[in-house]
Amino acid sequence: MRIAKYAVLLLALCCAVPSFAQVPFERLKNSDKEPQNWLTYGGNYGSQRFSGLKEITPKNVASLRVAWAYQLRGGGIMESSPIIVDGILYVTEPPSNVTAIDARTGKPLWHYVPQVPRDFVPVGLFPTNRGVAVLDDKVYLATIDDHLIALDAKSGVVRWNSLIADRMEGYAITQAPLAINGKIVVGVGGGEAGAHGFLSCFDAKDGKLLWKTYTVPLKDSDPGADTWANGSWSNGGGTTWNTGSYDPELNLIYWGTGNPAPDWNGEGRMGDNLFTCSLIALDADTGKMKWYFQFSPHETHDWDSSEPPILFDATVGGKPRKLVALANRNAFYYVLDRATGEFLTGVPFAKQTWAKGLDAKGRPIKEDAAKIEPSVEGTRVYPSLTGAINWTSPCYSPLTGLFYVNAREGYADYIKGEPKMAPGNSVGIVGGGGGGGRMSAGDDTTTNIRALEATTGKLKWEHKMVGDSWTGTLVTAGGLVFSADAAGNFFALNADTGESLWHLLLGSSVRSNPVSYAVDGKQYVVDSAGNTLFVFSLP
Amino acid sequence: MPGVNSLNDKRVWQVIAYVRTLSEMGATEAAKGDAVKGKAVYDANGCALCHAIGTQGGGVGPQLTSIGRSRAPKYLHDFLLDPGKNPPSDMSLPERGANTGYLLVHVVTKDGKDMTGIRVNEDTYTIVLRDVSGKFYSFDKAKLKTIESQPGKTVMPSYTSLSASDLDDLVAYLASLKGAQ
Repeated sequence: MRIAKYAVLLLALCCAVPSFAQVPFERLKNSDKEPQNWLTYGGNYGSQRFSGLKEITPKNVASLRVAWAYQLRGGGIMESSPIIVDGILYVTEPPSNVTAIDARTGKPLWHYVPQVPRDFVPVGLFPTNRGVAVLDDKVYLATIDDHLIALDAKSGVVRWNSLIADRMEGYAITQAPLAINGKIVVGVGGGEAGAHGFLSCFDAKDGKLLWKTYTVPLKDSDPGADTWANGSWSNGGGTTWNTGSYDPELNLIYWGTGNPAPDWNGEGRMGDNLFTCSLIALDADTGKMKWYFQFSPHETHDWDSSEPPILFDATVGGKPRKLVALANRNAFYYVLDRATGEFLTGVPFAKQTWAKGLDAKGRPIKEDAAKIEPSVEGTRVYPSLTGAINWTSPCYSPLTGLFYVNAREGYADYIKGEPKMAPGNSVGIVGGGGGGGRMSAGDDTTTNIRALEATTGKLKWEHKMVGDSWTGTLVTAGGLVFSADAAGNFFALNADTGESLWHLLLGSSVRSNPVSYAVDGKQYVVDSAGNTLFVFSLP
Repeated sequence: MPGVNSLNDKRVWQVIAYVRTLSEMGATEAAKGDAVKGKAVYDANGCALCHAIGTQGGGVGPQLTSIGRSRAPKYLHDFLLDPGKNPPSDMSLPERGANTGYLLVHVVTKDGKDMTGIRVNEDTYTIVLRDVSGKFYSFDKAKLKTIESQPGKTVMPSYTSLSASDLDDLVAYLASLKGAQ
């Protein structure tokens, strides 16, 4: 009898502690059915950053308070978007560390620190990490020095370690990988170092490379090579530095590509420079490109198109369509048919002075070159060098049909210089892009949360903020949008109206994407400020 | 040059922009006045009421202990004549950026009180002002009826009343201040 009592007690305790469960592909594919978890970087394969949780609502959000906090072990600024699986939270720390945490109490469970060469200084990017992927019994990490590492989800023990790229060629990685059916897809950064962009796919079991698709030609006979004058594709660019999306039914991967190289001096690379500043759709099994859409042909302002593509279904023109929406760094909001790449809609979502508009196929009608091209003395153009949006994620609610984006208003005086590219040996060429820009600062730069009608881009409401915020957005079934301003005020808005409902100053800038999860039926909201991860709940 | 991993892209470009402005300020020019006489001009005009040099002086305006390291004589000369035209950055709050330090802001509360002060800090929800005595005033924006920025205005007086030689001497004195930060 006594033994039976202990057995019951032990069973009860087991239910209260976090459990390391398997995460097969089917769970990832149907992640919307388990809103208590946050299983992929973007919350689901469509990168919607929509949480189905609804305990926290406009009526009670004013009672939100800090449940627990976790401070970085190694310092730096946290930009990670956590993954939460059945009570375990996986978060990354600069430059490429991973910590597993009990999501109910905040207690660390294990910590992994990869061996990154101390002398490695990536060109043109901040050495941080934005998250991991999970699949089956493993956690997948891409490191700043270009390794893809599979960790045992229960212990953090390394199961395999594969090289994605050679850091001596300018490559560096900050993104979270994307886990699909038996495969791990990951891109690369390094566009300012002249790295040749590509997307690669590894076998999740053993780390074997399955396919690798370049975004910029490698030889004159490659597709798109005729859009680079005089073989200038050799300078590279088109990196794939932010996590993409996936449609399991179409079996297509969607990934944004970055600037052509050199960035700000396009004289030596006349032409459209395919497939830079584009959204590419690749067959997940082969890596073969099914379609592409280039947002900014012959780009010269460093407006990468690496922003997260958000997948959603809606009726357009009386027809149900599979859509992909992308708020671009160039200040236009685009809606495409994600099966074909057909352009459907494109409108500015922030101030821009570089294009008169878009033509019927979505190609920009640029202003005169003298007004917009970088010059020795500086040419003032909106948006700024960091763009109307950068790496942070917008979100989409299937309940409101709105697309929520943190939109930056600002300009830069774009400067043209002499590019110093050295194909295949570009390490050490700081800003190797032949110029740069003096950005607006202080009160001349603002960011504002804007709710756009997802199918048209029409502005429904706006939440004005002070300063230059680098925070993504989260929308919940409870009817709330979460984000933060530049000073570090983490806040909640009414998702329907934009009404400001709650805020709390976290004491440092917030440079991450908020997420939400639940443990034992209690909803939590997560974001980080400075070097601290904050987790909020109702009392 | 050492790596700048502690700076994000934006900060790097702001540093570059600042370095470029140094040449525009005439950073290589020497002051033509007499620094010793300039100290007397400084003392006679009550500059120390608002500015500190070393351990002496007030705290409403920027500290001048090492102003000669960061500002060229031409900038100092022009600034003394028209202090509202090119206000200094508030380096204690770098996120405020260039040309927004010491901004005067006039606020009116919903219950009808009003004040004008130097903006010390502002975010989406709050604003903190300081008056010339150094007293701080903290407001919730939700309780304010109006918030009016006054770019170009400043509590610092214009010294157009100084003779040309006194002005040159004062500039020479300020340019000579290169003490510890």
